[in-house]
Amino acid sequence: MLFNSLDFALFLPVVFLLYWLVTRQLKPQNILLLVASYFFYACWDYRFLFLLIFSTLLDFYTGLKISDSSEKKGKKFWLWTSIIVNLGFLGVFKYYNFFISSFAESVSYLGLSVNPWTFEIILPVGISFYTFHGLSYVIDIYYDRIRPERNFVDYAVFVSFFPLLVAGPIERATHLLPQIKKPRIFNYSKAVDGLRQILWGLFKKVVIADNCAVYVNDIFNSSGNQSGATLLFASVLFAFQIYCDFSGYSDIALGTARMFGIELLRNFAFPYFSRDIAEFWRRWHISLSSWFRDYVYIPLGGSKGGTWMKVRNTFIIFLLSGFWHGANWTFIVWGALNALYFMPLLLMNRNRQNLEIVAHGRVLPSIREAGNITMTFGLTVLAWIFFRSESVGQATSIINEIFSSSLLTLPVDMSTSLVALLIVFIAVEWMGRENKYAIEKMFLTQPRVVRWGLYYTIAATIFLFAGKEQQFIYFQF
Amino acid sequence: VKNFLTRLVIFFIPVLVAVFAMNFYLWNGYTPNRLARYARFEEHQLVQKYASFLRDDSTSNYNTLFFGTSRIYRHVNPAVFDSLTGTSSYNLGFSNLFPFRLYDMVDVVIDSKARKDVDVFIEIAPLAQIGGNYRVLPIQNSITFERLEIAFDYLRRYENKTYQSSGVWGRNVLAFAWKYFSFELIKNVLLGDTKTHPGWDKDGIDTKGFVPLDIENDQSYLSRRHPVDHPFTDVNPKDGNSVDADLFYQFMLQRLTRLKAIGVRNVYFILPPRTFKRDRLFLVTVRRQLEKDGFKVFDLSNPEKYGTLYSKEYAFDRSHLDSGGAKLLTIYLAQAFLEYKSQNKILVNN
Repeated sequence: MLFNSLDFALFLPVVFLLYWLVTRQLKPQNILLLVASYFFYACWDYRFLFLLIFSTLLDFYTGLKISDSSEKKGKKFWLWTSIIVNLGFLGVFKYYNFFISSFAESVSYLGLSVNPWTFEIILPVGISFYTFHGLSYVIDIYYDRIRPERNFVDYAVFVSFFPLLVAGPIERATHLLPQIKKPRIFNYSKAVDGLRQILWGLFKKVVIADNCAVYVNDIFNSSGNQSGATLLFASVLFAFQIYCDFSGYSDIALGTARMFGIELLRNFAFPYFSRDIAEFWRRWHISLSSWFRDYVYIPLGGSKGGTWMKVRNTFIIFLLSGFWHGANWTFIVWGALNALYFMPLLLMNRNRQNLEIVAHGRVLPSIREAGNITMTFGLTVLAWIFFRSESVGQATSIINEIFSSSLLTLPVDMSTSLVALLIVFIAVEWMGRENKYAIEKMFLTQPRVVRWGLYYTIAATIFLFAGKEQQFIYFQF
Repeated sequence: VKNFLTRLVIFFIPVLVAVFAMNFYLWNGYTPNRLARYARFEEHQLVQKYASFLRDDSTSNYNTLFFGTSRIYRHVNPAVFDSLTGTSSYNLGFSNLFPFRLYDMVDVVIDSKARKDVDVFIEIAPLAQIGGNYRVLPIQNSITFERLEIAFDYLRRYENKTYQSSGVWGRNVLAFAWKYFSFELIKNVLLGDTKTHPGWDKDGIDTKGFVPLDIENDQSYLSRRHPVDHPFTDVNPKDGNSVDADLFYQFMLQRLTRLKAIGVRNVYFILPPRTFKRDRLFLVTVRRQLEKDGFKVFDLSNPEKYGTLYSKEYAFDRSHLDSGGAKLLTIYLAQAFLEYKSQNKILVNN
């Protein structure tokens, strides 16, 4: 069930009404959330619901066993059982074909020929997300950061709460579980705020991302016949497509959860206004970046062991981050490229210099800030070319063409209405960059007619300019 | 909660008022009557193919016309067919045509052209889900209460799982609202008639209405290319929905009787390959009825006879063939047509 589908438009009000009007107590509310979440997932493919339930049971059980084991050896056994089984599922469903075909390709360089046994397999939606949920839970128990949850329904809601089930944000038990266990009271302001964030998320997804997708798909599917200017324009549009697609999804997820009285972790903080790549990574897919920081980077030693260890660990998390997105060399190169961008800042100890909001308290950025933002965005766009391409070869051809004389031509089929929409979008995001999402406080102090005017305008824009319905990009991860 | 819900209802009141006001304007002020307005929107929008065909007087020279959904549009190559049969044919297939709409378009074309003594090939198309394509004008324009009732009934009987059927019902209710609240028309009025249907000709070359998916002008089609073997289609299906085949068949008979009355020479039917399993019993039931009433059906869906049309080698995606497959299908069709003609001593009158 997609957030931008009619099915969800019917599903959400029904669950909302049942949640607040029928099941007013905590226990029935959590049971309702669990049933609704499983229904939500089963609408995609009910067979994989069993995988989700198995994964939930596994982590629930191993969590209890880790806590109950008195010896370190026992704790370690149950921790590794959970890690191996969870990553095993992920490996089979997501990476098996990649590893086996990469192996066959590499031995072919030695003159050997193998016929790899690959299988046609569907990647279960959300497996990367709920696997990471479960892993963080058992690792936190192992390190005594949290106590295990003994109520299965509460734990299952933590893993499979429908707004975050298929594309995050990747939650932590320390943040979400206490909210699930606490009685929730309806809060009018929060519900309205949730609706506002859903509206903005829909705008980003349906108007910006889906309209960019049409152009981007056309150009990337025929990249060999396109000029450098057209390819650059498509790459810039892809940068907006992926941002609006994923952050739009996150906005809808956060807004939906807020309507049920639950606050999810923030996933995006206006990343394209970053002044360097380190700031970009503090603002892009925050829940994944912080997951890798807490469960990979820091356990590996973080930045405590000297320059070599800093460099090694940084490369590891960027490569893992790329690989997490999918079994393709394009994602790994994307990760590596970002690591390379990050390296000068890390080596010069300047990776934490832009912590405050850009142009805080000012209408416009300084020339220096604007230059840094443009430079960072340019580097990001270059990396996105690998992310979007079918192969590394295609990406390098696109980059070669972009840096050729054909860059000095006009892009073909450039939609002026799309460019106009993008300019308006960037302006609104800039104005709202000090908030959790762009329109969070827009016109909030104005009379109702102004506020509602804004909502009607956004809704009408969604209605009028909705692009061809596209699946959320991050569903494939 | 009640306060929140009340405000939400109040919020939507102006939306409803605006929609009704726009509707009032559209139906009463914008153009003098509904038919003219529909013709206007269709001409500039998604039925350009028909509009162009109807406007061009030279298309009256064609003596054979193919009608159907994308399984005709993307599969029947008039150049290949004509070279084998000596006919002069044109492909009027169109993507996403709801079967009722298909017969509307047959009527429109035959009524509009001076020449009526043509051979007409019509696809036996399933009562496909209209919900997924509810914003497509050719589907919207074919929706009436009566037709929706038949389509709903069909879908309800097939989609028997509660959540599936509720989804189907929801989408179809929206399809209905989309038409009767004129949402698409409001968009057209506000944004202008700028959209064009991509690629019904190929780079300006007259392909007589035929464009296979793998050489579409619109590159986005290529990203959807996913050739697969089609799972076996039952020759004599037992599962599925045939209940509404009778209702639909009555509708078809009325239209066929009319076509004969206005002078159409022969009406043939094509049952193409690669249809969905859920529709198979319906399609076969219609085919049997047609054959029982003396109509000729060229059944290219039989996997035992036309297995190559189900292979991955000739596929574009699960439901469509690529240009190689289209050529093969056209050859099979032409051969079957020639065989039928020789058996029945039918002459093609050019």
